Amino acid sequence: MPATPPTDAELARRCLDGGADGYALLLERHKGRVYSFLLRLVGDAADAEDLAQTAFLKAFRSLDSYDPSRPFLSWLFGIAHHAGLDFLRARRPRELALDDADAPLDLPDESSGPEAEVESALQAELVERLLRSLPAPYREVLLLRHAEDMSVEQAAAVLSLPVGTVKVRLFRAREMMRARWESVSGEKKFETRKDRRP
Amino acid sequence: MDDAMDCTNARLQISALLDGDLPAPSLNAHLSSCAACSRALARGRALGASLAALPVSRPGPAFDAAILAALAAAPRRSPTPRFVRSAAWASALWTAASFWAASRLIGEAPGPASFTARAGVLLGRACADAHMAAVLAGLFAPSPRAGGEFLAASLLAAVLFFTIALPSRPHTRTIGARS
Repeated sequence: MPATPPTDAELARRCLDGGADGYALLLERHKGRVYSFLLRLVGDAADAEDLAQTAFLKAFRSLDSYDPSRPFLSWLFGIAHHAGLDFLRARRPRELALDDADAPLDLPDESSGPEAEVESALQAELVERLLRSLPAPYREVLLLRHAEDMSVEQAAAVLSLPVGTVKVRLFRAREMMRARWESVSGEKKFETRKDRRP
Repeated sequence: MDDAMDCTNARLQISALLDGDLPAPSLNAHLSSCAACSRALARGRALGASLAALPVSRPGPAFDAAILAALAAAPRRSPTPRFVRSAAWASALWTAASFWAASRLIGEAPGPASFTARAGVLLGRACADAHMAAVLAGLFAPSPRAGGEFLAASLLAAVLFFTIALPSRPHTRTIGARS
């Protein structure tokens, strides 16, 4: 019978007890997701790698404060989120503006998008571009909720925000994404019920 | 009633639905008659699925080595050998047990005791109980930080014992002494 792989909490415990292999295993297990999250948050591979290293080092050096009754990855994402936001605050504060709904959209000119297929999933490249056009606070709630499959409550814990604030950000982020998607595919942005009635 | 839901409210409900909330009956009624909101729901689901399917990128090949080297250069802390920690906790437990037993030796003075004296005895025993409980909880704490917090609590109980409970004791029985 194959041995069960150690949980994150067990690996963290191992690190605290002086076992160096615990760090390597935690790194191998989570570096892709943390790096991907930061890459989509800051938009640059070199910056994302630096930030991911900062986040892992900070996490490993403060393992004492990790509560093993909580998911390790949520705790780690909380540290990565703060690292990413500190970076953006220092380098690109405009990306943190929550009312930046009319930011220019960096979209390709060709009309090869999934215009007519409402039900179909978007192409990954188009999703990345739409995501990049959002202010960072909206981008990260969408990433945590959908790319990381966290509940609203988990995302709120990662971002240190009230659940209600996260719900509002998710709503606004979806509306922005939808509006931009429709602008790419040339559809009407918003159709009210009143408009449809004779 | 269902007609009261306009598209703006429906979009809020759709977002809540995408976050796992149960759909309101009025939303279903609205969706059945509003193509734009039905499309918004479909797009919201497609968006969620597309975000979930985004590929996971990997950092460069030197990523792990850089972190592990930085950790080795400046370790989180020099790990205390397990036997040292075990000895420390054993001594804490022994102290707590002695403290607890001593608190039971504080007897009431013969004859009628004042309210203050009785309260001193009870408070002394409560402090000793709290001290013992904190040390035991610290032994089984899930993390060193929690262990430290329990240790601080046990010290607080000891301080309370010596500053409040002990001075108000009426009589301390010494081992071997006759009453």
